[in-house]
Amino acid sequence: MSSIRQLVIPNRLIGLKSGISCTSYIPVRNIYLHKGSRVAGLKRDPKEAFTTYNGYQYELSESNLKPIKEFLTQKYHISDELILQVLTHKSFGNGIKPYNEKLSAMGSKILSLFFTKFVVNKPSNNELAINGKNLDVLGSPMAKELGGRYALGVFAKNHNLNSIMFWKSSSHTVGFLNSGELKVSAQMMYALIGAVTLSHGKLVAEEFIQEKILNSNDTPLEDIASTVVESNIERKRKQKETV
Amino acid sequence: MLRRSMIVKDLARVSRLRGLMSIPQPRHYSQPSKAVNQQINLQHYENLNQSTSSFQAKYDNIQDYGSYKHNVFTHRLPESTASQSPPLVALHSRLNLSSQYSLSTLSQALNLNKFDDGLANNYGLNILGKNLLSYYVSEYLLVKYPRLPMPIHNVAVDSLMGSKALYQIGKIWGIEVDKSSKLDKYLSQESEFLKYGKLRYLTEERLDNNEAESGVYELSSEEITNLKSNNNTASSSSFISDEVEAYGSAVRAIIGGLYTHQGEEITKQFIQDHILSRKLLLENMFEFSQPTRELVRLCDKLNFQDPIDIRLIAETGRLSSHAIYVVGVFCGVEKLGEGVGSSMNEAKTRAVVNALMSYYLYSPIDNEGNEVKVPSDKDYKYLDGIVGLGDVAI
Repeated sequence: MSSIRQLVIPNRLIGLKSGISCTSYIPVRNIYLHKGSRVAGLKRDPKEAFTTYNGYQYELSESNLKPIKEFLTQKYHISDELILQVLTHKSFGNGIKPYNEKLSAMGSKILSLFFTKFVVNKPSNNELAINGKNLDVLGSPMAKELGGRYALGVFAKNHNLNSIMFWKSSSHTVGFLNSGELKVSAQMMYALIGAVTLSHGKLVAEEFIQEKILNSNDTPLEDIASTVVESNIERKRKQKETV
Repeated sequence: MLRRSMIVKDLARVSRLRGLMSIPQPRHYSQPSKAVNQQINLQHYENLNQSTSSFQAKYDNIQDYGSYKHNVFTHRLPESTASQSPPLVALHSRLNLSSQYSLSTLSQALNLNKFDDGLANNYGLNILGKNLLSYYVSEYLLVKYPRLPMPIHNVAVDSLMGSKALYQIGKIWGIEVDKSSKLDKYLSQESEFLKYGKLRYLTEERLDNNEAESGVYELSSEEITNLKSNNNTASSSSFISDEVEAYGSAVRAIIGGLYTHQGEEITKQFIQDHILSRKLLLENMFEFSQPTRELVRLCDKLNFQDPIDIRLIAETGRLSSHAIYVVGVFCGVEKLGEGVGSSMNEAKTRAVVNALMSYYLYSPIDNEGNEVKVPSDKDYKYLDGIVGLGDVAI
């Protein structure tokens, strides 16, 4: 059922200059807010337009922010508005709410740099190492996958961080990968890292990556990445054998 | 003449043989300690990550990063050899590098050849430098211009650290390309040390055929395929030649080398001095197709209550052949922008574009009015307005 709502435009004073009559004029207009499928030219009811496919209402509520807040802990605390922005993807509400694109640009860069330094600084007896840093590992599938979209998407799913995300897919029912949920989850993770970087600075953000993502108690990122890379190598080898 | 052509053929055969050398696949795998969510179909993985090059390092254990090793390389250039190369020493001091930065690393940064008698190339250094550059460049742009629309942000990143920009920097640094083949070097009795200070990316085969007229540039087979794929998608101006790419790679590798020898702080300083100090003409990168619509949408996104108004502020010579109008764009009592034009329509468009530009090019300052610090700086503090809200869809 559609509803009729009243929208009151703020007071405007008429005849203020003349200083004679000072009656306030309150224009009232009725706006029809449409529910249900989109109809061109009709304004949609925000309550419905800003609800996700699985029924979460876009708002600054404790329940919406809870998974992220618990993951961050007090040490890496970021503001509530920033958490909501982290959870919001460009696809939600036609991009009218603050979304996480810029945050994820920050996060993905710091993550790549962190893992580059992480793999390079491992002790090595490779005689080609420069000043003790083994650069041969760079460019390998594993080094690429560590900060990669696939591993992070799976990480977000395993840690249940992507249970509440504000995004929209053309078809939400076709699975984690095909619906684009993996990409959106990974982008959310990048944005989370970006938000921590912008809130606390680079050093704290690197601690955050080390503590919460690399050394996470439950399926750390390295294991996810190596499983992904190995199964990929395995599958390719099988493909070669069949050919 | 006969002798020369025989040697050329011989050299070509050798380099072809080297090109055919196969790189062994990794043999040992480890099992990760904990189970990973297996519900996800890994078959689609390849669609996301199509990066299978034949150039791969071997390892004992996938998570033992110290054990990765490229088998095509056998050695690095000895420091004693590198120090005898005049162009290399000159480049080292021209860049004002410290003595901790070894000449052999600098020489390695200039080597792009995969098969050069087992001499290590700049593959790893290039990736290291690229990651350092992308972080510091993105950080700078994201914090200094938090409201730049994403396409403009990407263009800005590209104009600071894209191959074409780095090519210019490499040229400014005076990096020279090694254009003579082994035979030419032999015939002109060129010192073998000279090449270690030059940019080496041309294969022996291409060096041999380097007899085109001056001003005529022969494309390599990769460049031809690149050009063809570019023609289908983007304009040919996005074509990047091997030379440009090689210079870019060398500059990135030099930055990577700086990290290995002198650490991240010095590298950051170097990037600030050489890359971020370049002037960026951001205002020229914008192009609005529907500015008024974009502004209305933007005000909607920013939760401005009042509607957008376009008002005439001043005019002169309405009936003359050179009328001038001054138009302002307002949201309630706030003026968002102003424009001057010879017709009201022109002035209106200019006013709207002015409003949009002053929003997008906003750069935050801290409470004392100083330029805001970036997250990698000491005493960095979070400020409101440092996080962009995202562009609007029109």
